[in-house]
Amino acid sequence: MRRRVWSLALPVVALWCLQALPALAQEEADEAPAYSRNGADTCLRCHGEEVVGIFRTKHAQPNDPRTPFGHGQLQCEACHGPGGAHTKRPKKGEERTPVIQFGEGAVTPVRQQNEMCLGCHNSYVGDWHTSAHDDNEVGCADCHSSHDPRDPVRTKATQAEVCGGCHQIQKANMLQPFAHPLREGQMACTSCHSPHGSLSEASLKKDTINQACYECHADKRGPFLWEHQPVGEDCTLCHQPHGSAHPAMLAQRPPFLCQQCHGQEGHPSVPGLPSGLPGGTPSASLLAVGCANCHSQVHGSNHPSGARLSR
Amino acid sequence: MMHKQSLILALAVGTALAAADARAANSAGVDTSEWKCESCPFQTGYEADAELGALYVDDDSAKFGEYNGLDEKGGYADISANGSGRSESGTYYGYDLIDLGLDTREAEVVFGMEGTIEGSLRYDELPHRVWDTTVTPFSQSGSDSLVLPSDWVRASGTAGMSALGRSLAPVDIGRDRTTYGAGLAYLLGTQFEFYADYDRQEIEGNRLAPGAFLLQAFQYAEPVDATHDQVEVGAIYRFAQGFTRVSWYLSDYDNALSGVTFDNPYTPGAPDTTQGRKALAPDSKAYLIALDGNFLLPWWKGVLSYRVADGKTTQDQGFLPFSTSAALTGGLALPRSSLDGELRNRHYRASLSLQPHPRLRVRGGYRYDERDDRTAAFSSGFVEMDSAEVTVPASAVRYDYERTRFDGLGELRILDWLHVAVGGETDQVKRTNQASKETQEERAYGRVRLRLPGSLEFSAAGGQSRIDAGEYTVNPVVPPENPLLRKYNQTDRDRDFAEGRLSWSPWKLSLVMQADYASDDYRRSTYGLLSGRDERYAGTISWAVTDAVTTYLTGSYQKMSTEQAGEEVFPSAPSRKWTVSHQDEFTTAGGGLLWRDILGKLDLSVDYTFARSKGLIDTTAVPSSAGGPFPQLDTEMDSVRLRASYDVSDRLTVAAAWTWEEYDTSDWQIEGVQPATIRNVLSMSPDPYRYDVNVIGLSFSYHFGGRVTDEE
Repeated sequence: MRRRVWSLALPVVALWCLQALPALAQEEADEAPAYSRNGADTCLRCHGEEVVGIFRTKHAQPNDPRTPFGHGQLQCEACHGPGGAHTKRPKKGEERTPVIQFGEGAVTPVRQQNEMCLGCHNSYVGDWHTSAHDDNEVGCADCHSSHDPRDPVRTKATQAEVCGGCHQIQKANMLQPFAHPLREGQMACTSCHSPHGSLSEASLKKDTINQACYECHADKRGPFLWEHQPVGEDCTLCHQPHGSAHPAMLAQRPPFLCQQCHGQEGHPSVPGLPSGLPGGTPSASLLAVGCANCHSQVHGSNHPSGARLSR
Repeated sequence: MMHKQSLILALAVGTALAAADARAANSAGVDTSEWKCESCPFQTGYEADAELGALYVDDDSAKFGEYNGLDEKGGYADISANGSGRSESGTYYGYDLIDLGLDTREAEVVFGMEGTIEGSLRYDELPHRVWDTTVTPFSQSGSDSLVLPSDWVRASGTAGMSALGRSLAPVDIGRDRTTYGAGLAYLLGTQFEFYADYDRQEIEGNRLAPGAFLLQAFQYAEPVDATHDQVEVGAIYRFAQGFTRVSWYLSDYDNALSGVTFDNPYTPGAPDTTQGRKALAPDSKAYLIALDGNFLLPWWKGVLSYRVADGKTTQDQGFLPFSTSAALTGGLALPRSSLDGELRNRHYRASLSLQPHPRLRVRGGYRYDERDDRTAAFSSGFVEMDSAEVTVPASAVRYDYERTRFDGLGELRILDWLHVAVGGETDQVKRTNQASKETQEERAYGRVRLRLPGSLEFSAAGGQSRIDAGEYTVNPVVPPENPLLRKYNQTDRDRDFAEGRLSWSPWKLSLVMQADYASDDYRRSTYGLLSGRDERYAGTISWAVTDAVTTYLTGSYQKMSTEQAGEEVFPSAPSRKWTVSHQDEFTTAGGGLLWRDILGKLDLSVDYTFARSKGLIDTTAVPSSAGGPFPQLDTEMDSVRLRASYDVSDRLTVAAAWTWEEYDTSDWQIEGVQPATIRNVLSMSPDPYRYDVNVIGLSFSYHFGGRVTDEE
């Protein structure tokens, strides 16, 4: 077994070394010392099709003084840093002095990339420094395509695909038999989460899990006359919001899910067994919707006779 | 009182922090007077894309059309369009109309003046098709009064309902959610922003719901007719060192139906029990006022974030009568006519991030959440499921909690490519009227991350958490709860967890892998949930073969298993112990190819997706012959999507698409359950989801106005 692991690992390590050596040998470039002479007009002499999409985005609005292309602003160099040295023809055998780069494969450290964005966006994105994305050194450009007129991560239909590039398990769960409509592009990850960070659990947009759910499921919030304790505390005690194999995105099937908290004397204590399937003695507590066949008001009841969550 | 003081204090702090404002127009102080940007292709004028298409779906399936609205066999016409315009003075507008011919249609219009006003109008429809194989003997399904046919034959069990067969009629289950929205933001200079946002959801349709008369139940199509309005208004003050925001949020849920009345399909157990009524979700309102923001500290790259929010939810829906049967409510009187319910929510948060050394970063956080249910006590006798009067009063229990969390993280960049971090968290929950008055979780973890040349990045984290629940006192209920059972959210638990992530982009390949693991031990539980274990793995490899050709392979595997135990207890029989083990496995696989610009005109893409979910439930019981495994829960999906688009000209594109999807489910909970299969549950008999659907589509899109580039 060990030999097999090594036989797999060695080629991978060798492959990595081969690919990484040139980068290891590369010296860190000096910082660009000065800004370009003519701003974007200088940049656009070399950079064309791959960047001009930005002129159809909010970043390139001359009448908005907040944007890089607002009057008096630094245009391309507002984000990419001083480009004076970059515009100079490099000596033979030397590489061109880089500007600040963004995204996959960029030589600029992620935190430096992000500082450029946060220089303007700190007050717009909120709590970046509290986010798991910041903890894990995710770059703004890892998700955002600032030169794209339709940034995929800001489009509901394509956002989940972008997030799923890293959150692969959550992306896979969109294919579970019961899931929110992310695969269909009818809902976005940002319907619940704030990827720029929040001071709430799991970077939720709302203060609590339940308040996030109530944005669409306000019928479950009550307060009800007769409450079911876990409902008001945390929806995820019973539901799996990223997808589940069980109806209503439940963590498990009733009656088993219910019996993890309820074992009262009498019928609540009776186990669900295969003998309760069709062909045996079909059981009301096992088939259809299990316990909820009678206790249908599992989220709470406002009926004066709803003490047992049946009305 | 306390929360008011907190709000005032936070407001004062926020204002004081905001007062330290300074902002430069051009932060670098560079003279840009000669930066004409003459070659910048700013968008001016109008441009738009319009797409006209047709689809054909070759079979009916609610599950296939669950969220895309393509649930019925036949043809669909579709129109989409987007466009935008800008003037040199800075006014702009844009619109995005998506799938106007389908049930998923949506539209958004944005408009404004750059840097001054931003506005938007939104419209969105979301279908949720659930079942198209369900049947019911109730007529007027979808209204709030469900009646059985006049010749219905009542019986004590479903087998005796002799009119059932001729009374069953198909009824589809599903609902539509329509959202209307509007937003407006006014920017006063670069520092102040005032905004308002409004959303209205209208939800109409039905859901499959159960009703019951004592031990006899039935399923019916419960009507859904509700609206949910949400408004948020706020003001933001931005300054060089951060921002402060104050906001007010209102949520108004309005259910057009207070209850649903249904005929009793069974032989009444008591006189006059020929009808029953269930309450539907009550109207409610929620408010929240919040102050939040952050402040960039002048030292150690510090950032202080804060949030104070105070809200309440009210509910005062008038109560329904105890029963539809006047004969059963003679001795009962409602203590009051409505709930007069009020919940208070409070949320206080703060986070401080510091970088005292270029290689050291620390962060600490505090969170406090409170749910304070101020609804007045309610105690009364009641009528059990419109069938029997219960004179012993039942008291409505109110559940409050206070949750306090502290967390901390220290990250050290030992080398540029080697980062290590340690973190911890305490999480205390105090509850009222619960078996466990307080749980305290302690969590610690460590993480190492390698960022190596060649875009190779690896991170691994692992840790443990421990929940101590203290004294567990079983609430006195009738019949009594088993004293050995522990509710899993209120008991002691040990958890080990680990996660790993690898990403590598050698040459034109890109590899991303993710693994999560968690193992739980409910160490003081004899009955209830005893243990759980999650393993989740996923990975994707993609390859940019050329600038025009990309391909990928993806896959995942998840296994979630739990063990639980219980004890069957009846006063007149010996008790028997039982156990249940669950194992859910979920596997996905897929691959695809995108080939762009074939001969400069044609784009081709093909994607294949496979997903399989298996659920294994095994039981043991006394006698042992009663236990054993359930049939496997099994769902398998195969999906192929093929798309081709051809640029007829710079402005005209024609696209063709084909989707094939096959879905097959085995589910013992509904498999073979006909309306009369269960003696005391009259089922709507939904079939397990199975479909084999093809969708073909053809569309033409045209670009109007504006500058046309190859990129478009």
